[in-house]
Amino acid sequence: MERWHLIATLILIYLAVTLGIGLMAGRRASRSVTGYVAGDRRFGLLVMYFVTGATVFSAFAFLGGPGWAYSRGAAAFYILSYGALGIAPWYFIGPRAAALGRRFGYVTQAQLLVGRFPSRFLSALMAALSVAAFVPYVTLQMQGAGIVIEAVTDGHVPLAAGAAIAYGIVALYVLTSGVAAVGWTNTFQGIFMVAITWSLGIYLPFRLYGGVGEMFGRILAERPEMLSVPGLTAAGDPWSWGGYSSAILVSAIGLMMWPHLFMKAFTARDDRTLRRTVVLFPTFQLFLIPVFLIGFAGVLLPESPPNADFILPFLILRSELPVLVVGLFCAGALSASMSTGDALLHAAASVTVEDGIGPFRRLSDAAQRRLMQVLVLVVGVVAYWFALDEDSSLVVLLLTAYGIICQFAPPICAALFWRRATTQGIVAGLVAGSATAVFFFTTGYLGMELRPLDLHEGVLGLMVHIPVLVGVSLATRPQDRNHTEAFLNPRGSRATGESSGGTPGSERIARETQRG
Amino acid sequence: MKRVKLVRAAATIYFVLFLIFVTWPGFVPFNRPLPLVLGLPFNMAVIALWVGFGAVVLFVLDRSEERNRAGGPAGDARSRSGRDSRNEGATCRNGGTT
Repeated sequence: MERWHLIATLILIYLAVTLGIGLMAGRRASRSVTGYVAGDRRFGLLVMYFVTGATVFSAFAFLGGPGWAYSRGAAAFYILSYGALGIAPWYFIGPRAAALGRRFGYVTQAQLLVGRFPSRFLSALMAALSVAAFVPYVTLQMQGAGIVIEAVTDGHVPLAAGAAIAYGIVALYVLTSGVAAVGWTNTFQGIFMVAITWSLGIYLPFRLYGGVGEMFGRILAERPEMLSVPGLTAAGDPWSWGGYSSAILVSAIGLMMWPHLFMKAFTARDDRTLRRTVVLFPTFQLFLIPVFLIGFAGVLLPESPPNADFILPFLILRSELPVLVVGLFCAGALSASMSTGDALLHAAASVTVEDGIGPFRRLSDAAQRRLMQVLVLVVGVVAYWFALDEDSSLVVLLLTAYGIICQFAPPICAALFWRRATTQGIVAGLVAGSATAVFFFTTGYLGMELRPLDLHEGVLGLMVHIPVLVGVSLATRPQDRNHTEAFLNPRGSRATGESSGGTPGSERIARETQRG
Repeated sequence: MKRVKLVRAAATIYFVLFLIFVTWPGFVPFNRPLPLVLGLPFNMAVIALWVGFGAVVLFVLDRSEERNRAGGPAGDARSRSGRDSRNEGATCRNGGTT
């Protein structure tokens, strides 16, 4: 029996356990759409914590993080910086969104927005932008899974087959169980990832250099440019401060606004759970430290992997670790990919049905659920098709996705905090901001570098978005005060017994609420 | 009531400073590799410290908000809504076991 046979067996066992947990979780959730999308709103603290953590730490963190530290040095520190910044405002935004979700039955971000700013165009636009941002993100996760499997099995299982196996399993449990499966498998995978990363992050520097301090001492002596922020670009030239700083800003804002994360507010059991998740989140963030240590461990090696993202499997295979450790590592990296991929697939399907189709056609509960399941497959197949093209510039696409996603921040904040915002202002701002981001992305992609100070196109989009939103809102007729009150003070207005019957959003909301 | 607002303001200020001091130009004075802190380069350790202390700040904020919800005056809308959400949580849990 060859070495890779053993590794493949370990991975199969891991995948079987994941599938088992996913399928079992589904038997506990109800069959309604709320059950499928929002998990009956009853996730406890432990599950919420790992759902959020495991969803944020995707294959990008597990493979891309070491890859960045390895090839771009201190540039990777931006990944460490933005997480806590992005999650902190959630302490106040999360419970407010959750209160509105419980009151009006919202299960997606766009529903909340359209509840305050009634516009079917807005709903469809949000759905289209979300899905456009999701596809490259899912593709990245699939390639991650494929890379790991191909590398560790010595190429016996090629990328295409590896990605197909891993995502076949993801599709199976997402299709049958919805968000309940996503929650329980992520808990399992989250614990797994934390354990494996810390062990490897400490083990590799000791094994290769005799210690963490010794490792950085030698990097400083031989490649000092690696340890100075803003680090290097992908091509090896010095990166700009504008690029580094705006990457932090866009990622922090984008992190809050990803629909698959925002929807977690609607799955939380109560506000207490949601707030505690936010408090605990920075502890998850510190797990990037061992991730970087793994990447830095490769810097001084004479040989290099074919692609910087392969550095982790490359190091693992060269260090002649026991088969068990290699197998566990592979499972950890797979879990990073799968635990994000499942949430993405699930959210992409939910958003398309709830926001892209829901406002235009009434569907029965069963039809909605069936349609979501079909869409999980469709999005999966489209992403898989892109994943087969290994030359597609995914990181470029992903950064654009962040540029688009962070355009959701001004409308959401306005919906929850700014009384004077109007539907026209929100739509105009969103269109202008996204168009700006796409314009700077496209021109950059075609070789014309028009971005001032190397700022991220998402930040440039926001610079156009916010003035347009404010200007158009102030120029149009203000919304009815009773209507805005329900959103600006969701719990206060209920406590005083105020009726929400007159709000324009309440009609479709009534349709969503409490079917079971 | 006054104290809870103070903590809230302090937490907001902390995260604004966090943003300023991990991006340009706030980060420039801290951007050097030596001395190593627990084996990590100085600039990386500084960012890790901002993140770690951020968790502490959020924890303090959470304690203050909780105490405010539990001990606010009876007529205060916030304490009422706090009770509301706890009741809802209990209902959900009960619903879940059936």
